[in-house]
Amino acid sequence: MILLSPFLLPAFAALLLPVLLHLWQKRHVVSTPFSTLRFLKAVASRSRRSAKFQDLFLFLLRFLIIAALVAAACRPVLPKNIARWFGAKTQRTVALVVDRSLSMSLSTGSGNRLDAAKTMAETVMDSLSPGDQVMVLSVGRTVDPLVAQPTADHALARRAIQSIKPSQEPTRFEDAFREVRQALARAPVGTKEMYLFTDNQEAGWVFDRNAMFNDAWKTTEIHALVVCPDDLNPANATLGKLKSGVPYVTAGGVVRGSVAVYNFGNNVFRDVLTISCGAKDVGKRTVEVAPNSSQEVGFDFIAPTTLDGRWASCGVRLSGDNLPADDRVDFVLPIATGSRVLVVESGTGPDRTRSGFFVRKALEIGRDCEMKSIAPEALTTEPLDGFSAVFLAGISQIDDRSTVRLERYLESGGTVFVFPGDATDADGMNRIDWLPVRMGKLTDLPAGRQAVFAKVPDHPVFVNSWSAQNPFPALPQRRLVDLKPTRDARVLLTIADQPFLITAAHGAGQVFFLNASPDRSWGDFPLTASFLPLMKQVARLSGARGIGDTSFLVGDPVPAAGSLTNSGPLTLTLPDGSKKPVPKNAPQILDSIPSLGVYLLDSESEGTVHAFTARPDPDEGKPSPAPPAMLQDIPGLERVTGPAALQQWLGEQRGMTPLWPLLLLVALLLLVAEALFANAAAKQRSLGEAKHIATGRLNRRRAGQPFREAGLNPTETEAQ
Amino acid sequence: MDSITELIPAGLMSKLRQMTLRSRYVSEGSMSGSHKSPFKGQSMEFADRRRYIKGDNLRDLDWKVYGRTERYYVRQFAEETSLRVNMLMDASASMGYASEGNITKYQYACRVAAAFGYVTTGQQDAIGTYVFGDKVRESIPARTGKPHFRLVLDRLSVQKPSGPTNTGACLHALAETISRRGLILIASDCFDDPDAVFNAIAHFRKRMHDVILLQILDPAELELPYKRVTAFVDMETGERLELDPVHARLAYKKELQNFIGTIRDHCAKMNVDYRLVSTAEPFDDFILQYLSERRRMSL
Repeated sequence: MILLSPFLLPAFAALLLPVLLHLWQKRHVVSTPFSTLRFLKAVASRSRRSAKFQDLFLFLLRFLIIAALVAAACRPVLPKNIARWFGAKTQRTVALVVDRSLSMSLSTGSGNRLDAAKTMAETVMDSLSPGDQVMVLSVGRTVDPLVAQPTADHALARRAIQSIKPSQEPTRFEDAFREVRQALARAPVGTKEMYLFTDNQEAGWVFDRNAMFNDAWKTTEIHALVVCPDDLNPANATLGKLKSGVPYVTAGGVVRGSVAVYNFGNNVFRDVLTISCGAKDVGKRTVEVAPNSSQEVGFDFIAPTTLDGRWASCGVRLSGDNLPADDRVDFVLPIATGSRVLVVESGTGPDRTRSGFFVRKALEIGRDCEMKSIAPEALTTEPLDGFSAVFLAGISQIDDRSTVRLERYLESGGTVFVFPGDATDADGMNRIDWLPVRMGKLTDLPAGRQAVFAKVPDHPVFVNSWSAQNPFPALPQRRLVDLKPTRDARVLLTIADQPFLITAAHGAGQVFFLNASPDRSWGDFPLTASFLPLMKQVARLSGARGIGDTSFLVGDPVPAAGSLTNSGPLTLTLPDGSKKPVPKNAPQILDSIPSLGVYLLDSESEGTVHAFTARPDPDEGKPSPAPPAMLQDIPGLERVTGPAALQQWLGEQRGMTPLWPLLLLVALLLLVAEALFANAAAKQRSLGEAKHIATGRLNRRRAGQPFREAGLNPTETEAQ
Repeated sequence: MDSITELIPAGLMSKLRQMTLRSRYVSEGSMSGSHKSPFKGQSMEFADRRRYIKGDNLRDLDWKVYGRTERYYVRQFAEETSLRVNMLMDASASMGYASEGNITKYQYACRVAAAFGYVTTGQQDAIGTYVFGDKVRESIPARTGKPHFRLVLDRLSVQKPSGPTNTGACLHALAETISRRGLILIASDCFDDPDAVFNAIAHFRKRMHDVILLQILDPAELELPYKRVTAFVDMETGERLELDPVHARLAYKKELQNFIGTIRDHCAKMNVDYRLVSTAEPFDDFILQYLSERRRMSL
């Protein structure tokens, strides 16, 4: 017999209770004089016998009741070999899947949930018999098949369980279920069990469950059990995705941004948000978030005056709670350095007569921009890799070779800014795929300034110059061309119900199209105060532009944006300082981001060419499990919480017969017997009290007055 | 219990003055009184006729009978005499038992004796008292008069219940002592061998006494109300018996009931006026009711 709750065995000490009561009663004998013992002697032996029998019987019943209750509380089950006698299937194939996601690192006071899950996995291992097969997987964003196929080598499985390390990945169960289903489908005849040790976060179940738990799952007859380490709901706050309000950072410049703070606790969350840039803390901000809600917390700070390299590594963090890993979010910003711009302009006359005159003059101001001007014909031969942006200022057309070169330039992360002009061949331009618009005919506008509307006011091109409070000013335009944006294009500005500034991403680069000529032929925009900041911002953006996304979830793959890996050997520096070479022409820099932090991609020739960060999935910070209703439709799936419930489930699944219901029934029957017997004895005793010996008159007691022990109180009886 | 007022409340005393105590049978008194005598004598009540014998007073000749039968008969009249009430008080140790809140059985017996004596003295009859335990301890032959009544009360109050009991032997001895027919009141708990007691009472009945047996018991003896395991100590022998009264109560009552039933049956057979009384019963109610019943019986 196996006890599922052996820790209750000390409760058997309660059996001493009736014994002690019995002894206590025996000891307290009062002595009293009595007129004669002749009648007492006559009945003493009989009553003593009867009392002894009654006492002994009641004592026995009560002893047995307590024994049965305590034994039932210990939850005994019959051993497996007895189940075998009845022909139960004893061969077991077990899949142990341990959730190693970030949320499993949540501390619940007595360790973290992953440790508890591993302990419970060991409990399942203990329940296996020699010959039973087991496979071990750990699951986070991806599945790590530690013991990929069922094996009878239990020592190997135990080592695999112990080797599971906590990760910072989000929870995704889909792949684990698929692998288990495939593995168990090939398992020999017997019971097939899957144990998923997890905190059971809702995010893990967000997949097509109907497709997963289909007929194939049903025919495999897998008994799936979701084992939660606990049902606690410890307070936890999490930082969500960070939004940077600036596209780049300059030394001593202001950086703005916001971050979402999620409070998954039942109390108001109050903390201090610390912002760091480089190795310095550059700001603090108090945070107060209502229970079970989130809040977008804005921040700004002045960047240090000494910024090295091309990327500034920044971060925001909370002071830490039960899950410290999700209390920090890193972000990287490109450091704005001098940009190198190529202006392609038509015309061969004096400087002032060429179409890119105003563009060049605007970019020259400030000396932070190195500029080169070429004719359209030179575009076929001019190396573009060294330029951060190419301005096509009113050129008539782009030949095919230049088109291809510009496309490659864009894919590698470059910026192309296109001004149409009177000489521009609309048909020729419309054949270029990477342009964000298709040009139509020229239209004259009414005299006067035309209002300009910003469709995307927070676009980086407007940062530092215009905003919702400081809108883009009306422009003195006279003509414009009818434009039809392409599917991927974004209209940033409109004028006279026509797109004015359009942008689109192409590869890792960016294309801008302005519906204005670079000279004064379509209007006086080049002479207005807004022309210069727009040109300078585009130039700066191109100079400080990263290649691709800079923020990923842990476990996500990181694609090699543009032609990044084509250029030469690259080395990836991980947050822990280790380095990893990135193969040339590799489609991905990383298949899966292993941990939180800042990753730097270094080139031997150019230094750090790219940086990105890994952030935690905010859902991982949510300590509460998925609602039971979510798992109801999954066939053969059950859920238990805690080691005791797992023990019980194992006892039931191992073909063991639980004995405690029987013991409870026995206790109930004994209780009934005890009640009946005690009642009968009391009835008999009460008969002795009720039956009075008739005297000459009715005495007062017989008339219904209460009887007092050892006689009547005359004072009271007289009063009555 | 030195004073009669302590034994009989003033209110009861005035009620007792209206009561009488009569024997159901003829009595042999030493003085003329209001009770029937076995002898013929001077009274207004015609008793019988008998043949004239020489020496009879001619004034008693019944001339009407002579006119009818021509034979000489003399008329006889019933003699009326005084009543002798002898109260036999059991003063063994068991009579000293009293449960909480009650008086002892001996005290109750004394009160009954005082009431009987008061009524008897009031009707100019004689009272006598005998106190016994294992032997007769006090003998006060029957006499009339209030001083004698006071003497009886004094002697009763001096006696304390103690020692073992031997009711049968004592009653036998007293039956021999009390020769004249009268009223015998036996106040005892009768905790003795029933056969010996019945033989002794039969002795009294044989001598034509009108016997009243008053069995006085404490309510605790009747009900055994104890609730815990108790060590009972016999007041006469000092014997100790440990018992759970809760379990023994019903059987005890049956046993006691049988004992009382035996006494009652024997008394009925011997025409003895038997009463069982509990010391919890109000004394005045009991005595007034009992005397009323006696009066009805003797009418």
